[in-house]
Amino acid sequence: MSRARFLKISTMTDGDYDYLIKLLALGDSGVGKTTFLYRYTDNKFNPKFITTVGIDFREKRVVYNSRGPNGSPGKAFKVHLQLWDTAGQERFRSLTTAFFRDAMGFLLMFDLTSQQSFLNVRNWMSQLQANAYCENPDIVLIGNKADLSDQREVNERQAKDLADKYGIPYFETSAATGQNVEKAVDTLLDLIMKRMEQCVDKTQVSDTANGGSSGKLDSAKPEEKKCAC
Amino acid sequence: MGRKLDLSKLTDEEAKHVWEVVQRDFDLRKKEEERLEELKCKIDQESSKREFLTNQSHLNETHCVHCLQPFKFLLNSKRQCLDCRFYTCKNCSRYNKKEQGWVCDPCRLSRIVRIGSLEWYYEHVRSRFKRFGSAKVLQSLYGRLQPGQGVKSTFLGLHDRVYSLPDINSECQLLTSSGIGDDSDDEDGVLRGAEAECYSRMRKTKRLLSVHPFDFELDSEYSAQSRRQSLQLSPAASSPDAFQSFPDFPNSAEDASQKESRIAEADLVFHHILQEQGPGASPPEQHFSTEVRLTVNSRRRSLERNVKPGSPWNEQPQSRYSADMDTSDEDVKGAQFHAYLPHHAKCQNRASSQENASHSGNQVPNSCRTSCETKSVAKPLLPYTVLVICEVQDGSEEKRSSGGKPRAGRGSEEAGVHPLVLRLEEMEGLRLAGGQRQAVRDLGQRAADCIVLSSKAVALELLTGTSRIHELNKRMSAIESMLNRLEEKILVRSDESPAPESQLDPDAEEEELKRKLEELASNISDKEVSSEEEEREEKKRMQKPEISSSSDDMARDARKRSSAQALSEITAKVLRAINATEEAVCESLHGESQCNGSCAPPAGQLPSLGDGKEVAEAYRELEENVYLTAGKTYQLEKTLKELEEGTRHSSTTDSELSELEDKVASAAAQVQQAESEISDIESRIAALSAAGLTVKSVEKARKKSSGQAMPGLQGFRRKFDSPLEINGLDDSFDRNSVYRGSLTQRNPNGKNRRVERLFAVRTQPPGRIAGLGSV
Repeated sequence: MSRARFLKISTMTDGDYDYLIKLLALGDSGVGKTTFLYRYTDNKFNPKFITTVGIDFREKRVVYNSRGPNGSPGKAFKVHLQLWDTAGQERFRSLTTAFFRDAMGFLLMFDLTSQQSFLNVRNWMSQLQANAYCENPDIVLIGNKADLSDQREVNERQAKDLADKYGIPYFETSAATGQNVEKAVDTLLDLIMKRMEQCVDKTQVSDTANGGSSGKLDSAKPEEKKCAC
Repeated sequence: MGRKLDLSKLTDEEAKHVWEVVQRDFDLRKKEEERLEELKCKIDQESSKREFLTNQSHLNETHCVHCLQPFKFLLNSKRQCLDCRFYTCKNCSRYNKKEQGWVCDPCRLSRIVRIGSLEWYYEHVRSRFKRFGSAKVLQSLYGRLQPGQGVKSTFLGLHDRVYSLPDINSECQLLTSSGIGDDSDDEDGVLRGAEAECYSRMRKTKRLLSVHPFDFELDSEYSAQSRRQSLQLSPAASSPDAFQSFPDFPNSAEDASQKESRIAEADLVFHHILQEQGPGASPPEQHFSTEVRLTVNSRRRSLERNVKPGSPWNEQPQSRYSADMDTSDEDVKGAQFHAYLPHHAKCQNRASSQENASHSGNQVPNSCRTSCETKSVAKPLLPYTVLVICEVQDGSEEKRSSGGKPRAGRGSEEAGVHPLVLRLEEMEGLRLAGGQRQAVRDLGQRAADCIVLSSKAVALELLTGTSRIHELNKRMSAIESMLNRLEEKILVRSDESPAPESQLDPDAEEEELKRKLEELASNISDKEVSSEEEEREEKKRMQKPEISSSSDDMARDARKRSSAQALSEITAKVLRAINATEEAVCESLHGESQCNGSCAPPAGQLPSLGDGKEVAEAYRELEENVYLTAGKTYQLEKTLKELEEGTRHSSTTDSELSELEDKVASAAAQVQQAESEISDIESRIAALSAAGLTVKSVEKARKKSSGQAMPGLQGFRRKFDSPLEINGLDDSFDRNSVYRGSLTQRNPNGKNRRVERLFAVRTQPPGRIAGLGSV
């Protein structure tokens, strides 16, 4: 999935971007959603645990370089990301789920050092299906805290199987070291960009001739049927 | 599951945090909405330009539909856009590898908008939910934070207002038309307690109370319309009424929101008036910007009202709205100087709209009244409509005649305009060819208009207290001297042209003219550079106090900055108009002398037919570009007006400051764009004469240019004029039509001669030219 490359841009206040894309991080309390996003946007790590109050969001500007089918560099788009951070605590549940519909893509996270958080991934998936904008939105499964290998409770095989079952990509990340953090978000962004182009192509009569190139890529993941838009 | 939104477990602190996050989200949505609107506006402009250009079906065969560069074999080959099927040059399109074809830049932009507007996504959200998440939470927070019984009805009243007008109507319309919205009723059906009651109220009014994704996508024309209507119906009744309906409501923020909605309405109408008045100043260009401005503005307002209905926490009683109040209050009671400018501007508006009163009917008094509400919102409890009407009527005469400094500003305006007009009259007295005369008058008028604007800027200066009148005067005198030179040139030329020398040596003459043109151009660019530098320095100077100074100073700085920016804009504009005048005069002179010179063209110079056509077209393009540039100028004018308005409302919040800064930046960008356009035109003039324009037979060229070029020009002008007709602005329209009529007259005399002149400049072997037109 390294077909897209992203760069950070310094200025963020202006409207000089091509697309606004909204992502949302969800998962059990304490899996590291906030630190993950903090690492992604600011490239910093805060080891202190501060529980998120309901919701929050961060923003980041990146450059999306789509690649052609043969890997040749394609168009570059400036993308403004709105990254929703949600509270994992149960008491905020009804609030946070209300925001699911405001995002186009999801970072579903669990803690590699907590078997329970991994088991709850199923629950989160069904929450997503009920509350996201459609039943099969773009999702990336993320096992966080990969740096704490001595405390690890979930092995990679398990997690990968589950991701395959849902037809979604899986990454093991570490907000502490930054490992795979960008890659996971970029992959999600790539999925969303593909869907965006595809959905527009579908609504158009004229542009369908070659619009299927990204569709082929999707067909490799049978469970994630693209919504009929 | 997950449908109910029970926020009762949240503590106040938490609820507040959530509220703030939701506000941020709304801000982001608002920005995005504005961004998309701007892009759509750009696309519309481009497509209307294309539409016009492709009326001449042959044009696109030989010229890029976007930049109007002629296609040349190998050098500048043409390619067809996948989307619009028009031909563009390489610079104006990009190759799309996936689709293995070229897509021109405007189409690429519209693709981005199509993708970026995320229609499909919102379609999904819409089909599953009633409103987007932030809106749902916002609504629930209202329910949670206003539980008291007494307050409740009041709250609902506010609620009604906040979420009404115009969003309501459109939402209703859209919901019924799309036939959805009922599938998610259960979502709110589980709201409990106070919320349930609230909900039942909402049911009665059937969705009149909610924010919905539609609100951000609705056709903004509709919203602008509905709001205007509401104003017309009850400008007097609605506001006192609204205030009486919550007499003892404790939260001052609600009052503020009320006021702010009044301001928003007044602003809207004020914009509307400005637009009505705008065309009078600069006729043919308003097609591009006015409507769009209005819609963007209205939408932003409506959104703001949704977002800031007054925080349920009492912590920010002095919002920026109340800051607005203070300023405007000052305006009403306070110093004459401060009051002068708004009055001045409004009086002008009023005068102009009165001229059109017979056409626009009862709308005029209403909008007039409302424009003044901007000022009087400070005392919403007074029967202010009456007050305001009096104020306008008194104020307009009184303050216009009140002497002192403002008078000086006005004086300089008259001093600026009249000499110009006189000079133009003088030019006419020279018995130039009809076409020349018309061109001079037309473009000169534009210059005069610009000077009217600059006088406004002078008034603006007075408002801020930093007087730079003499600087402006200096600039104006520079402009005048340039006009003088122009005049001289006309005199010299008209003396010269009948003389035999010019016949003998057309090349030398052209060289000279070109030299002068370049000189003028460099002059202009020097000036602009210097003024820009000045600006920069000024900004630097302002930067420091801004950081440390009090809020008052900040406001003043913002004003200063905007007025400074406006000044430099105006200078650029005036210079540009002069430049255009110069160009036109030069060209018509070319034409005239050429007529004399090429009455008996040598037999060897007989041209080919195809090239005559090309040259005629190329010339016409030039002319079109002049108009397009003029359009840009008009946009600048609008920006200035916005700045003016911004100055009037100058308050101290950061957001407003940054908004001003944004405006300034965009204005600067526009200036730059217009500049580049001018230089483009210049270079094309140069290219046209340098690219070996070969000699045509006089008859052919004449036939070509009168047969093809003119309909094009007419069509173009008509395009610009038509919105004026619709708006009933007959004053400006009449003037335009006069111009238009004589513009057509000008052609047989002026332009053909120009064409002939161009043909005579250089002779080239016909074979070489044959390749030029193809591919």
